[in-house]
Amino acid sequence: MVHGVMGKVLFIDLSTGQSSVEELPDSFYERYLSGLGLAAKILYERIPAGIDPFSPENILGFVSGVLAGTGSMFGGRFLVVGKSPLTFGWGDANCGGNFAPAIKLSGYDGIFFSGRAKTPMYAHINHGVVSLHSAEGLWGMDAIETEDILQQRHGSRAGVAAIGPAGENLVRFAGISNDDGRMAARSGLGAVMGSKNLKALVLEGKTRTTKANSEEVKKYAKSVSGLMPKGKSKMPAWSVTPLGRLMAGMKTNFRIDGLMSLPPFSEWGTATANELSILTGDSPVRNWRGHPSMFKASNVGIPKIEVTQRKKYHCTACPLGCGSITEMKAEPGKTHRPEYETVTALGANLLNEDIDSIYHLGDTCNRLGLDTISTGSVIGFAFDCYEQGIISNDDTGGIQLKWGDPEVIMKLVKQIAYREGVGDLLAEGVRLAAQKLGPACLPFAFHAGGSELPMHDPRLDPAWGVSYVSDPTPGRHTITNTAEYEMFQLWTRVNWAPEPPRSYPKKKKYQDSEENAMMNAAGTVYKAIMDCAGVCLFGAHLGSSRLGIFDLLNAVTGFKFSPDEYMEIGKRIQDLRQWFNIKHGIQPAEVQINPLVFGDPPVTKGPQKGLHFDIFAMRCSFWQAMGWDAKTGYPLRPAEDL
Amino acid sequence: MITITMIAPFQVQGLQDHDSLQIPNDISVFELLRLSKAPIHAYAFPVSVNSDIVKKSCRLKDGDVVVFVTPISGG
Repeated sequence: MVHGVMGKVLFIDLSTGQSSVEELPDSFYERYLSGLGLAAKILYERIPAGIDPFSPENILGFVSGVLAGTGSMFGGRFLVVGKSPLTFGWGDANCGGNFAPAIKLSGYDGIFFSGRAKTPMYAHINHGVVSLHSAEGLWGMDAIETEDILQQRHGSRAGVAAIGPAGENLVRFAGISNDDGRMAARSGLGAVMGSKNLKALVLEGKTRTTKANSEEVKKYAKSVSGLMPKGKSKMPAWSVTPLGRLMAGMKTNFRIDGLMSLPPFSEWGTATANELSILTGDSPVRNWRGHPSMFKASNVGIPKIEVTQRKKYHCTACPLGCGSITEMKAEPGKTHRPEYETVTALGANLLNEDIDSIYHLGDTCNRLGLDTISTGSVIGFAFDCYEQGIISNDDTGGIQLKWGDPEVIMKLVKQIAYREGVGDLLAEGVRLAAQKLGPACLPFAFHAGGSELPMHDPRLDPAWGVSYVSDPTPGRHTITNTAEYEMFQLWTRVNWAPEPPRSYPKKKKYQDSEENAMMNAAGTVYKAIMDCAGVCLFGAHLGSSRLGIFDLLNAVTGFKFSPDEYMEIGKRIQDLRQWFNIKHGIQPAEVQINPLVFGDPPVTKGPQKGLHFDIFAMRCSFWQAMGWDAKTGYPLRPAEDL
Repeated sequence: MITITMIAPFQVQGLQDHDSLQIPNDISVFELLRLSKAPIHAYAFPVSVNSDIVKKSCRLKDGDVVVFVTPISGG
């Protein structure tokens, strides 16, 4: 018997209203674990090739990880999965809050929806029992309002995942909200939910999972908690940016250890890097085509953020607590502190220096159910197109698309969510909007395989770029990069993971080398294991030995796998995700990205001055390191053997 | 002599495997930086000892984990 998992998954056909439960054999969990692996196997096999992501045949899944609900620290993430309407390939969105254990408490490792309800519905799973209810009265409401109403109806302890108007209106980058505006944002899966006429999923239950070795889980919980910063950080807010600039200015890369960044992370979350990333050139400015000098970075810096922080919060099973509720000038007066990605996508990327408006825009995106990365990116694209005369005043209904104007940005956000005016075009995402506008707009289109790019410039770290164009979910910053690979410390547990030197010249990162490719491959495969376990990326920063992810997986399930054996499982899952894309007509080698992102041509001033790298050669090396064909990106093992 | 763990984003002389460092008894973080021939900019980093941010006058004892704090960019 495999411990830690529920041993079964739930399928709900919204067309017929019928549901079925499938029990999974132990051998399934031995091959795919749970979470991402569970999803990869089911979606690969059951979504017919080439279907439209909005067709009833698409499957939308909510999966928790092996470690969710087991008392394992940082094991509080869940995934939403399905075929993405942005990339037309594998889609997943990772999110925290308290929804991951709710999936398991409801009695299942995963809940999968197919079909399409005739009228808007929400699904309620109460101690394993499924019921579908009319959502006519909820349709049109924002995601947070919907959650509030459903919790009034079903109890405040019910887990609720809901879409806002953007998902209902099939905006291709709509997300799914839980815990008052935490978003499973990427891949446009909120639109898939909307296409199924499914407004929300409500979970109740008390089904507990078992653990093979509770003592081992407790041991790690204690040691991991002991590493967390004690009390309020005494680190002055003003000190962070100069220190970061100091590090960025060096020609030598010093290997990063996750313990180094815990105090600022605990205090300010990802906002730690808001100002620093602009000044060092990591953040895109003015739709990637600008320069740090164009933006007053201090307007989004920690001192500005710190004064708005009111209440720190933790996701389930998190000892760090990088979240915060912040005061906001606009109604309702408070919101989640916006993440770095949100602040940059709606700030520097659009030359919007008004931090209050960024809070309000972030909150509005959460309520409407929009991915802030894609929203900021597509608005930046629109600004550039307007400036070049590709989009006219007739197209915008007279709105002048002025860089940095918060009112214009807010208007566009709302038009996108409701598909009104020019918002209808922008709701298609950058790639499809660019196809409609014609080739003149291509220099302003920033996406990878249809997924808008995250707020990290690969010219500062080519590992981002390789990941953006190589992973089955392109355009992601959460797969791997140099600093995170260093923090994972995989070489302490995995035989084939290279150990980077304690210090080395930064130019080494730009080389198409076997060592770099192996590091990218190891980091990517480890991320797949994290997503099977349901582990937070920021917890993984502690390092694989300190977090003990491999030991915890054994302790929870009762498996006796070595770290190398777990990495084999991770490779199998990556193979399946890649095969999913190929099955759906995506040629991995045809995934392109705007050349500016890899320094073609190199810029002549600023932090990215002269920086460039051969992204496609590095992609070939990465694929080879993954055991895939270097030219085509096809896995060498047939999908049937996985 | 005592053994500490020292995790730092700069060159440290005498650092062994697993980030361990042998140093004389009863020295401060400031003296540790001097002894390990840390570069001048290293004195600017905040430092935590056993997960608590401390002043550089903090005296170290056997088994301490000394971490020099630096921000990283994340999403």
